[in-house]
Amino acid sequence: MASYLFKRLLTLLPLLLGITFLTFLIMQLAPGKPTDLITDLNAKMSLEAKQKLTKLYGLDRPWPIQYWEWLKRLSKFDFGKSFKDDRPVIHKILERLPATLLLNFLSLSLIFTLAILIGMTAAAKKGALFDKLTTLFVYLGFSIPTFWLALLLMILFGLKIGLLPISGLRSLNFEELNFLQKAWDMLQHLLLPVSVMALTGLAALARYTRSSMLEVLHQDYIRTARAKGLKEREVIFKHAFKNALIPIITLLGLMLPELIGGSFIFETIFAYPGMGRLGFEAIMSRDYPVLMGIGTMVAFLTLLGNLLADMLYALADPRIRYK
Amino acid sequence: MASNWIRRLFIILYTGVTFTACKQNNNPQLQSSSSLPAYDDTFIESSIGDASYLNPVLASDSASSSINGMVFNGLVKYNAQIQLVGDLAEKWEISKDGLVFTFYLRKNVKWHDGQAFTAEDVLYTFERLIDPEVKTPHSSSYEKVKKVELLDPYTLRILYKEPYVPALESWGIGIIPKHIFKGAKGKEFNEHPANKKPIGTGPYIFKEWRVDEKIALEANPKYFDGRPHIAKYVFRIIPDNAVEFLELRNKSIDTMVLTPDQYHAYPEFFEEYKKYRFPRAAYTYLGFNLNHPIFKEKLVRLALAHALQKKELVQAVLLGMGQSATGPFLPLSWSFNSEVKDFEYNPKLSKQMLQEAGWQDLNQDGILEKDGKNFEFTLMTNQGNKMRALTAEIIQEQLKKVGIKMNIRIVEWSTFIKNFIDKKNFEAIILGWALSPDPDIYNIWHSSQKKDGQYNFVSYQNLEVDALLEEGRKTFDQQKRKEIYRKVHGLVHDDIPYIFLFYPDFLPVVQERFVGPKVVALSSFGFGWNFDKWFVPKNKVRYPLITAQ
Repeated sequence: MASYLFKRLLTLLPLLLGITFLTFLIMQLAPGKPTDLITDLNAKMSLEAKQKLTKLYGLDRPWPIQYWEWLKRLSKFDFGKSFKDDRPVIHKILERLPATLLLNFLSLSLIFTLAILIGMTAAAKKGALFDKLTTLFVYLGFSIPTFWLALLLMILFGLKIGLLPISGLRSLNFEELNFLQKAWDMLQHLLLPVSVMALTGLAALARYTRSSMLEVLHQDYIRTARAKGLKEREVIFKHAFKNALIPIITLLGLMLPELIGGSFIFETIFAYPGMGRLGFEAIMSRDYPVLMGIGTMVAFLTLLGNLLADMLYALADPRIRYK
Repeated sequence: MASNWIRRLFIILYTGVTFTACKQNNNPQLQSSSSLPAYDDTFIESSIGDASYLNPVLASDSASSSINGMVFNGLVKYNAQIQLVGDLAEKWEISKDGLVFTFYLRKNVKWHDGQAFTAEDVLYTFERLIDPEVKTPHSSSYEKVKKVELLDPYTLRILYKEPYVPALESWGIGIIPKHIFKGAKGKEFNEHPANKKPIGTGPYIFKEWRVDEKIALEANPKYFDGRPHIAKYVFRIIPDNAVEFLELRNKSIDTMVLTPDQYHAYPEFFEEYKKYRFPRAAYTYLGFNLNHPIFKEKLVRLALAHALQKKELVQAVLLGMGQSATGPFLPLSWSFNSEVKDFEYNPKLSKQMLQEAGWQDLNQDGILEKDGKNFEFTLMTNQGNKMRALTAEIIQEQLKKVGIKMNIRIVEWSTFIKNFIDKKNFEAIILGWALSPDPDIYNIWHSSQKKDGQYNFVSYQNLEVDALLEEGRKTFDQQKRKEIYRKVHGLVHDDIPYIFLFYPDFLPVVQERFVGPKVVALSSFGFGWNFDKWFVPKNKVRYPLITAQ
């Protein structure tokens, strides 16, 4: 197991390198430069001033050299400085990480709890009303455009009922509140985004749980368990559940990068200060250092998530062994 | 020349205006203490994007500029009549040949940290603007400066290589404190922490910046032009326009700029708000490639100008929230020539002109031809601007009526600029220009500005216009200058290098408890020009300050 882990970790490095290389390449292929937002059709800027800016951002050199420079800095864990405001990329990411982690941790926990509950119950009572209703419900959540649902809920809870704030993470008078009031304030602000995220993200996991559970329920050992007179609850939770976990673990592994990746749509709609907006704005303004910084971190977590999932398989199913 | 008595007169006039405004606002008990201006309350503004540098030398985006305008002062500023008046400069003199500017600075000005403001700060700001290692987008405006000399701590002389009228406007840039930056240069300046925690001389003091959430400012009690009434200013970042509108309906923001359809929303949305409407300092145009075999001929362009119905465009694209344009200046500005008559919409006349130019529909297929070739061209515009795409579609319909086949091609912005505009690789385009208060439009219309990446990409050339534009940059007498630009307006209109389509309206709303917002020509550059003079009557304060006991 240990040697397997070591081998896997070793292969991570070239993979990561390859991903950053491709990201950099694709970024360069996209038309436009980071300075365009400032210089394009800006009648107050002369040609010389434009060229000066391009040079100051180091964009006049060929891209392989730019990539090499970036790699050299990365080897010292330096992600460089943002083109937008000259601040270290790592600071910009760390500033937004807590808010994103909070939102994603809450919504992913909610998704997992609900999806597993729904999936298992639906499988246990396959074809019953509950199964049909939840199927409809998760597909509805999956199909509804996020931004539309978010706007409707904002109108309902924010405007009509006046119970919840419409957008943001904190009220404007946040600093004047005591600790409990602060927690309550943030909770109110988080309620809508977390619910919308959970509702719209439920489908895949719930369906996976259901089908994998169904498969397990058809196995011989379940019949045996039932035959020896175990209660249905025990059959489901003790015998079937653990074996139905494998696909869910895969999904869990894949969701690890989602924890920090953030979602542009949610964050934009809810005016939420997170990583999704940072990444999206970096793409739009061709802020290469920020883009590469986020790209590298997400790639690393994706690879780590895959590895973690593989490890967890062994825990869930003793028949799986790694050499 | 802004001497003291003019300033006083202006303040008196100004106060008069505000009081009449109060009366109109159904404020019968003007004299009672409860309706007197309060030194209190918070003004909450919203913005689609976050700021970048809170340093006027480095910033160019509108979010940063909004904040920088509150925290910093320039040497000069524009007043309501789009005239430059003193800000940090008490007065100035310009030599007869226009080559020497002498600024006399105010002596009572303190930076927010208590240090005195002096000419050294101005010199430092200038040195960073021309520093080759500083990432400033503004350096072009200072290329003509030969030298800046300090005569004493409150007097400085700026020598120019050639007379250049917009130079005065360029000294409206926010002056930054030398002592805070400790004389930092180049890269060190670009990355200085003060770019995130600005110290200025302005009416508002920087308090806090929560990235992607808000920027908070507080009134500067020692502001040299009088303590602002509104105690706090909050700049909230709401990246989605629809959500911003919901926040307005929820009364949680005090101002926003509406889109035309939002302007027509149900009255419930504006329960406590006052809507404003005036032309934006920008125009949308249809530009021709004047080297193109078809559009080279003026008669053809004239025919097209008569085939377009701008009224329909304004109605359909802007829901009526705009006005048709006749030239390259803002209708409320002094350079605008109201005598320029727009081309009338007359498809018949248009067809006649086209026929005169040799375009006839001989094969009866509905499309005109000449020498066996169809009148067909492609109009390009950039992706992501619905207004422009819609404009293109309506123009397509209108031109079809006179027998012209127009294709539309919508291209991603950077590709559009790099591969088509800069290389003049287009037949016709729809684009827009934003206007600055100074009417100098040399970079767009002078025939020397036709190189790749310059702004006369339609290849316009009129020697008379060239001469006038050169003259306009050198003439400090505004009356003469006005004549020059009015002529330019007429000439450019008659030559039809562009069909000037429309000025979209600027549609802000402001919560009604604020007294002071006033529509003037300059408002389209934002309400910021007089924000420090706004107030809320004491009985209407919504977010009272918590007074320390």
